[in-house]
Amino acid sequence: MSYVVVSNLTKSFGDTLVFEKINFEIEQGEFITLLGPSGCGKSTLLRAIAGLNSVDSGGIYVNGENITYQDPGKRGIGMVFQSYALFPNMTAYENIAFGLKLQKLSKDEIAKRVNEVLDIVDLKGRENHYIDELSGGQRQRVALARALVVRPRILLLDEPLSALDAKIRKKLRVMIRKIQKELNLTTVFVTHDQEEAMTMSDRIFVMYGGKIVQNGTPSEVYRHPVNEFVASFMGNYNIFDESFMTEHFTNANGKYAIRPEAINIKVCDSKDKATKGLTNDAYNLIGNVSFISLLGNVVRYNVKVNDKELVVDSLNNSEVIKEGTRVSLTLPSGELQELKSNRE
Amino acid sequence: MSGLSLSEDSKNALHNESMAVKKLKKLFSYGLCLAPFMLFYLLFEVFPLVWVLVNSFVYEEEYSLENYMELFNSEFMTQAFENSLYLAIVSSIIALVLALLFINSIRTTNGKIKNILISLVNICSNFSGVPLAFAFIIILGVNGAVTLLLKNMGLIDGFNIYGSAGILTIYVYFQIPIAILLLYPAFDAVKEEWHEAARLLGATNCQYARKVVIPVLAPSIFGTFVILFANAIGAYASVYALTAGNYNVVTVRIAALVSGDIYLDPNLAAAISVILMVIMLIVVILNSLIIRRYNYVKNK
Amino acid sequence: MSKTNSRLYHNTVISIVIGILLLPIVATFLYSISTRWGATILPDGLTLNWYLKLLTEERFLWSFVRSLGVCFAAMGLCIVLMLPAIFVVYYRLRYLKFICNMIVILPFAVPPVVGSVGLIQIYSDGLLPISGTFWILIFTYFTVIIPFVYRSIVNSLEAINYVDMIDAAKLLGANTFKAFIYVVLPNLKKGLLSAIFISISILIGEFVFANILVGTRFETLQVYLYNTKAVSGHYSSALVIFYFAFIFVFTYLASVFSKVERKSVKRRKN
Repeated sequence: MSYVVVSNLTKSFGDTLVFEKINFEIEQGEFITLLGPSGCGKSTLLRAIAGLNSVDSGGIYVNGENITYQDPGKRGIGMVFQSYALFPNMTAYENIAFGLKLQKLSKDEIAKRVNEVLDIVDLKGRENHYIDELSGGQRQRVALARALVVRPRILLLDEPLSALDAKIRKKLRVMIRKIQKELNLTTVFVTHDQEEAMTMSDRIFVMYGGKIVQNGTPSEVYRHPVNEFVASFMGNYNIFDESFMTEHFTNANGKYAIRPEAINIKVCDSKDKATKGLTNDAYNLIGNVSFISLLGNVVRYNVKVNDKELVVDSLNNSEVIKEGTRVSLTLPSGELQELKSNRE
Repeated sequence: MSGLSLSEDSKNALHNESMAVKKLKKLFSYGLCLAPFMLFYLLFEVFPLVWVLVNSFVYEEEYSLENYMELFNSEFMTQAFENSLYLAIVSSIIALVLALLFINSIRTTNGKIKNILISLVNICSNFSGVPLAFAFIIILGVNGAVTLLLKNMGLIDGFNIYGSAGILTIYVYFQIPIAILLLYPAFDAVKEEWHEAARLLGATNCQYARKVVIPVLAPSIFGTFVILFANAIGAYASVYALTAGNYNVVTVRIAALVSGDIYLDPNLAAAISVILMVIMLIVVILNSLIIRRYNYVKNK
Repeated sequence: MSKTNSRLYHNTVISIVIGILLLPIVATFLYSISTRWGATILPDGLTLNWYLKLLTEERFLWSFVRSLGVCFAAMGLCIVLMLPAIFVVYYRLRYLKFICNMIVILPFAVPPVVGSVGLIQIYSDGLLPISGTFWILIFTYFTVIIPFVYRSIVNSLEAINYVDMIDAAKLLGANTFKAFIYVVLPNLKKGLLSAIFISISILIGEFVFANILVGTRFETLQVYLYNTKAVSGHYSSALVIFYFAFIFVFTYLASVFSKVERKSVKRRKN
């Protein structure tokens, strides 16, 4: 049996269902991300695991032990809140030591363990500052240290980086992942940022409307989205409906998607023509570049094909095609993903 | 997983029972936190008001409207209401106008001076009641410094601080700081950029004031008026200390009927109190009807 | 309007309003330090005798002590009763906030004279005959300051992320009570201090309830002030200035603490 098992977990507030029949298993030392838009139930699910929200039915098991109805303080769970929830009346040191004090450990033991985590999160020298006197990134690390110092069985991170600016966020991503690997800490991370999810996780659970719609490694989820929602949430997928597919490629049922970087773009020769059907295992389209955005190493083209606008990414290593140019697009058939409907 | 599901049922059954106990404990702790406050609140805030309401309809130990009849038929009582209403309305309007002019002017000064002035006003807002009445006697009494000054300048023959003009002055005095403190934050909602934007669009100062500033401030102005009105019509200490209860206003009548030396009639006092509260209620309702016209200003 | 003209206009408005507000205070102060001041615009001579007399007058000192005693007792009672109630409502029963606001506004809306009509009748005899004693003052003053104490506590409660903080403390092993004591309460310190200073400066100036419900049987500062008006205007002025200096200090302290609060809220938001 896996280290963490969540089975049939269901929760509603009054008439609104927050999440329903959630099932998943997490191995010890795994880094899991619950990814989804706001309101998909991911934070409530996390809080249910922590014991801060009750559930209506189902069970949560850690190491075979049912913790579904246990008090939050007895579950052996550490959590970093989106707001950090640091105690402004205490210094960084006192914040971190709070949990150990409640365990009535000796002063020396507390000092030893606090200093250990201060080292881990690289906050040595800042421990006697009050929270008001720390920067955003430092506060975030105090919150992490406070959760780590009690040696939790599971670490829960509720959008811990969303209040920080981009640079610090990237640094802390790496730091959190490193610490997690070093301590072999089972971690559940909640975010709405797909980039964050992809760079940090062993596995991603994509949530939508109170359900986990896809569960897999970052590259699985990115390359093989199961439905339209995941496709549009994970990247700038081009999504083709039935009529577009039939008109330009082949007769099809349902929707298909393709990643913008999977499409080849080149300036149209006069002899290029849109051909329906496969040529060299790829489909062809002819369109006009309607908009160009430079994203650094990548150039993003918006290409108009009839009434449909496609997004095409290409590496920024050759001449950038000008707006208004007629271009031909090549879509390898193997890259076209069939999508299930969002309901399934 | 199959091993888990068996124990899950028995655990859930156990859990349901302990949940009921937990829920009871929870309710009990809520009660423990709320009950003491509610007890004192009921005893010393709600019951007295209920007593007033009920006993205003009791005349010689029978339910009747006699107290109210007596009120409306007594010229002395209707005069008290007239005086109170006059004082409340006029003092509120004068204080409002002065406060608006004052705030408009201090907005042009720099931050430090503004803060000092507002602190000064805040401190003056505590100067009311008996101490204020004394101060007024000293400066505006028969031999008060200001009275003498104005007399010497030939502006007045004499000033009767114990008459309606004197009492209106003291009401205006204690209303000004309250009006300023209540209205000052509302002016923060008027952004300087709006003025600039309006000027760029070609509005004159006057148009800007009429079309932008006043509509934005209107709800606050009406709201402040209600509080000033309530404050004035319920005021007692200043007028009592100034005239030793000889000026006829509603609050003085009420107090005389419950603690005077001559004639006690608490039920009549209760009836006056009820009318007083009804007047306040009418003003509040009128105000909310007026403010509804400005519902684009979202009040939290 | 030209620049200088408008400056002149604004300065005039400010000077007139501030002048009106300060005139009674300044005049009372002058009166309190003058030997004699009658029938002339300025006093005859200056003296500190009235203050000396004040500080050696036992009846005054006792009235002051009584006032302070009643004020602090009422304020203590109010905070002790309101803290748990506010906490439960804001942490667990948030749908009651709306009712709370109405409960809290009532003492503010009812004129003291009206309240005293019922109070004097209910507590003159019967189960709780406390009219005419300091008890009724303490309990009545408790109601007077409810709106102010509520506002101060709620302001500082809303300035912190108390729900997350309690959750965090719970995950670290605290129960709700411990979380409140260690994590929430210390952060309400400034709000409580501001509540204390506002309450005291309001209650020390309370005259209506004190005079109607208790009068000379338990003479408070304001009642004493009223009763000495026949003694000497100079003496009364010294008393007024003393009182004014007292509330000056307390309102100043209250504003300091509520300002600190606002600043820290701002900083947290940035």
